[in-house]
Amino acid sequence: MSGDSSERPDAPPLAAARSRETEHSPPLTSGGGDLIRSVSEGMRRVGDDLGIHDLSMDATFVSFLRHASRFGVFSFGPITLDLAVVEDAAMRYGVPGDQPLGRDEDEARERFWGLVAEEQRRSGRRAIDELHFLLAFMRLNWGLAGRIIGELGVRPQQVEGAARAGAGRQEGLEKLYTPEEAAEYLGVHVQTVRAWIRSGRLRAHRLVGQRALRVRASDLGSVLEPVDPAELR
Amino acid sequence: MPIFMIDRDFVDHDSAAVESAALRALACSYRFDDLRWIRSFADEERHTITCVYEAASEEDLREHARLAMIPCGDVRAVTEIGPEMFEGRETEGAVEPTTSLIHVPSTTRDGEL
Repeated sequence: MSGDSSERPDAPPLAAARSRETEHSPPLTSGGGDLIRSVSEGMRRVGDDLGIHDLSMDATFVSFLRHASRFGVFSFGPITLDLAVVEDAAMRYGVPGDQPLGRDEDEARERFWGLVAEEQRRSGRRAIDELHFLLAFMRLNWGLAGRIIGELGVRPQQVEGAARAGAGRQEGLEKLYTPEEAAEYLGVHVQTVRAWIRSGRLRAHRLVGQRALRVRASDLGSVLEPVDPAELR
Repeated sequence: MPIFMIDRDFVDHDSAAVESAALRALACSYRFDDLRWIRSFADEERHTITCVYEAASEEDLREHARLAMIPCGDVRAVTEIGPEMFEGRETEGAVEPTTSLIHVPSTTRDGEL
């Protein structure tokens, strides 16, 4: 990956980080301020635990994985990572905690947070979430994250596709909204939501044996479309 | 907790650069126990961003700016004033007066005090 001062051409592949299609892509947890706080606060613990610089991109990546992993494994779509293997690699290749970050690393940090903001804008979702972080790491292609995901050969489009497919399979677990709740979430009148449902633009379901309508959380995005910033100037 | 106003010079007012800086500022704010970003205002004409923070000290704010890699110019302690002070809205820590604020002196029948 570009400009990583810790890269060594003879470094062995991170064998436990593997790429495979999974049938079930569990939803990433809701993000927002809790996610940013969790990752940020976690970076200090990563620095202490692994002896790497707690502001580095590697610390950011490991902290993110710790936040989003279950039982020591991070899994989303075609990406499955063993957290212990990633942390071991961070200890071996990361910027040591007692050394200053180089200019390249500072620039990578700037680019990373810009990419997170860009992913949020593209998605149209209100809060920054784990998917935004994951795609930003992939697009940045820097440090440990760039190396690991590069070795897996996974592209951002595959992750985005898995996000769309995975959300649709969460029928038993996914939050359901009444038309009123959907209207509040979207910031529109409930009659607008009902009109969308009648026109087929917004998919809805009835509870068995009842007239009550419910909208899946994953279907709410169908009434959002990304805005080109050029339109707003 | 004291409130501070910070002036930051931003040469690059590109929205992407500003958003990246804002996110770095937010992320780094969580590294401090008593530092909270309240609001920022961008002045595109003057190429400055004025930020309002709650913090324990100016030193914390300068360290925060260093960690977040954002500019940090003038830092000054300020007092917050808002319409809720006059409109009887609930504010945190507000104390209701127990007596009238207007004292009417008693007078004699002749009108003397």
